[in-house]
Amino acid sequence: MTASPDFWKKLYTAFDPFRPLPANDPAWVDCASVRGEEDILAGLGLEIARSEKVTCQLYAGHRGAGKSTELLRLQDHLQRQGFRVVYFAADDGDLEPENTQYSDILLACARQLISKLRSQPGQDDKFREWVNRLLRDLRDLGVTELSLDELSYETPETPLGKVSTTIKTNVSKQQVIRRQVEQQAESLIDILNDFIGSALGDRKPQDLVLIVDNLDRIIERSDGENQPSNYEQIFVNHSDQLRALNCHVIYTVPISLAYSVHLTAMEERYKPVEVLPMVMLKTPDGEISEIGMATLKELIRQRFRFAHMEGELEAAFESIEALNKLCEMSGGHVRNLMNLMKAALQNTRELPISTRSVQRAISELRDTYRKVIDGHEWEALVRVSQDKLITENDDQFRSLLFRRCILEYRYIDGEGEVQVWHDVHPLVRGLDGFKRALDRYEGGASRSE
Amino acid sequence: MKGEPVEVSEMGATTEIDWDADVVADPEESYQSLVRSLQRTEGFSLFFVRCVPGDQADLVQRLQADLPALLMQRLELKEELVDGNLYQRVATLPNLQSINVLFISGLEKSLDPYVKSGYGGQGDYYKLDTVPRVLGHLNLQRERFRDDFSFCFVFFLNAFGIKYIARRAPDFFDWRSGIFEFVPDSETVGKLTQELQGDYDEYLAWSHTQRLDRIRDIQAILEEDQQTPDQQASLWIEKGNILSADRNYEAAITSYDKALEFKPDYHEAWNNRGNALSDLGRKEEAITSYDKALEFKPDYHEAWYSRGNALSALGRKEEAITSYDKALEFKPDYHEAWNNRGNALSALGHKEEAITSYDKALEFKPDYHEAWYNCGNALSALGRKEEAITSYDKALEFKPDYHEAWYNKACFYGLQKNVDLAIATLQQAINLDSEYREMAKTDSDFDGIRQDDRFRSLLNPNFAS
Repeated sequence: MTASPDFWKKLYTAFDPFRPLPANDPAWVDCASVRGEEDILAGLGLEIARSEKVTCQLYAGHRGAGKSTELLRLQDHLQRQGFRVVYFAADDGDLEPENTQYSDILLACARQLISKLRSQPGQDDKFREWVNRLLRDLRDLGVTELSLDELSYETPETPLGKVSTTIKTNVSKQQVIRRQVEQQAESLIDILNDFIGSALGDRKPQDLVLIVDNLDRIIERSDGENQPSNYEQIFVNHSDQLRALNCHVIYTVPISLAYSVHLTAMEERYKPVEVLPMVMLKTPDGEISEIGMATLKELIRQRFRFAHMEGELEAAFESIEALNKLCEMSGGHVRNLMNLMKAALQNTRELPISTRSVQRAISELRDTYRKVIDGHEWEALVRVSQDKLITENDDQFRSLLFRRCILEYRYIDGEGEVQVWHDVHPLVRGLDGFKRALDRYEGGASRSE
Repeated sequence: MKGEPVEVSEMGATTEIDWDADVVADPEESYQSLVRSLQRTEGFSLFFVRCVPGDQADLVQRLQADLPALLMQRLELKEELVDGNLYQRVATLPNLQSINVLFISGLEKSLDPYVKSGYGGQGDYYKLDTVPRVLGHLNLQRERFRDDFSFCFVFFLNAFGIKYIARRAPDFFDWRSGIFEFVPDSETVGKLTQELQGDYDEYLAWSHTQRLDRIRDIQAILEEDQQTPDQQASLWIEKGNILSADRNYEAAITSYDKALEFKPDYHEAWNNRGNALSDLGRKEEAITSYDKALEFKPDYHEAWYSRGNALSALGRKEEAITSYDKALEFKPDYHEAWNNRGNALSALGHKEEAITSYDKALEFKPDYHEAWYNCGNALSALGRKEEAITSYDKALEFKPDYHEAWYNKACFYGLQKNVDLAIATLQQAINLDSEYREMAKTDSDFDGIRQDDRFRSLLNPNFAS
């Protein structure tokens, strides 16, 4: 099959790992049945629709599992139901990249709400007053970098933006500014809640949903073992402030936080963290799940369709085994599946994709796992591969979960209960360190018998 | 079957494939994949290419020749991005609109300041207590890169740089469209290893930053495959030496231990390890380390000498002398050994022999001021005061600010009750180090002149004569 350069560009682009699908995209594939019936509309969405009061929910999942895609779907779904939804993906304009604190998140939420809701005249003044008060106090503390004159701003969110920018650029005064912002956070929240009330007019606060995506992008930091991570400091220590906005709020968090004992101790505050698991390709006993495999193939097929390639997907591969293994080695992780496909296509001059091309793609992706695992972690990985479970709140497991070396799966058992289980990423099984640790484990096990 | 392409047999039946085993692409295959990727990409994408700095220019040239329709540009980061903002650097590039491929190199330079120079081993490299600013930014900036730049980014990185990004900017790394590794062949790795050999005295003269830079270079090469155990050992010892020069002896010892893992009979590593232990005051362990060095190289005079010093510090003077004698057997003009042997003899009360030993040191190094001074002390102890003074004067001839010598001379004049000379000489010592004023207040050598007003006013500036 000789294909045109244009075909290749389309096909290659279809597997880009960096574009969450917009809501209602035809390439979206319903994976709920192979993700333990995890459906964002039924989970987060229903909670919001049914609740009498405003809610604050956390949404977690492996990086690249499809959280943003799902959140965009939820946004669309809620909007259709008549909710007003403010979605934003926090970036380095919002968050201080080295040392993010809850006040950064609060300021970002405030800015986004102000700019997206547009207020009545007069409402802006309160934010201006708040910032002026902050500046006055800061000046008394010797921080003069932020001047009032500069704040002849065009839009009401600008002064808050200036505060965020100064926190980021003025590293030496960062602590002082933050402490002051935090001291006055409560009054900012009050102003913001008034603002929400007036912007919504006749509508109730329960009609507004704020979705804060990308917070799992904050790089985890910890000052040592058993010290709370920066995530725990934000979401546990400052839960009062993060929950104080008078509207429904969804924050994304890394999957590792879902297993923090500090956070689970707070279930009366947050609803249980909603987790988007992997597509389940195997049962805990290691049996291939036909429906899981079919789902992944459907994901690939949809993208082939984007390049106007019809017909049997199997025909694009030299062997069905290669296609199957490509799916299997993704572990049911959607972005890894895209990574593998993209690499296999790079290695291919003309379709069909050869078995060797797939093998190379797998080796390349496996190598990236090799790069992120340390020598002392193999035994923990072997243990997960045997027990199919992780120990909650163990820093090591949580970190491996964060790095996707351990994956989370869910299914509905015979009684209709959601069962959660874990396994090592299938690519990890091919790494020498793992193989050696497994040999040691099995050797130890047989000796002790 | 590792690394072998899987053959499809005539019958169409595939031989059993082990999917957990790696297939290794040869550099040409990797190159062709990279070409196809650039060709097929529309708009934004991220690629990571691992290769050694020396190969980057050739690679760009070849890609440009093979893909003439694409406008390729290079952005070489020569130093750390202090604000960590790579987006900004790219956004201000000229002809941003027409670029198709942008090659970025030197990102590692912005990671270095955060690397605790790998003290203690690999785990410490990617510590959780800091995030390199540039990676914090990249991790949060990926949408802006995607939305604002519609071209291919190709990051040239060394093995260490890729690892660092994979660990500490996982979200940015996760958006890659491809990763291509051009692993240097063993010859190149050998050459690069050779270039990283340095001189300890040179390391001592370096700044802390220079040392960290070099440690990074060493670490980068250590991450390469194709290393022979000998090369790895020599890189680890080099790293240890730099850490020693940086007075980070604990970390240096860890490095020497790594060197010895690769090459257990590496006598220099045993010796330098001994030195680092000795600098930490762990003399007994140092001696064991020197003994290992000498086991593998019995005529290793530096190790005999250092072993002597460690024994001497423990007060085991006789053994120290034996050790110095061995050093001198293999290097008869080893003036430091002669000098320290003299000190050990002197401590045992064998002043005459000590003087002979100092004389030998001075025979090989006539301007050896310490030996002149030590010799002066030994002569003084024997009561040969005039000769002692001559010896101190020689020390001062070669090192005029040698305050110990000035003070000992002053003591001699004090005993002689030669007030003028005692005061003038003591003044010199005090000028160089005011501590001597306190010392002289209780030193019995000056008892004979203590009542002298000039002496009293020298010791107590407030004393009015």
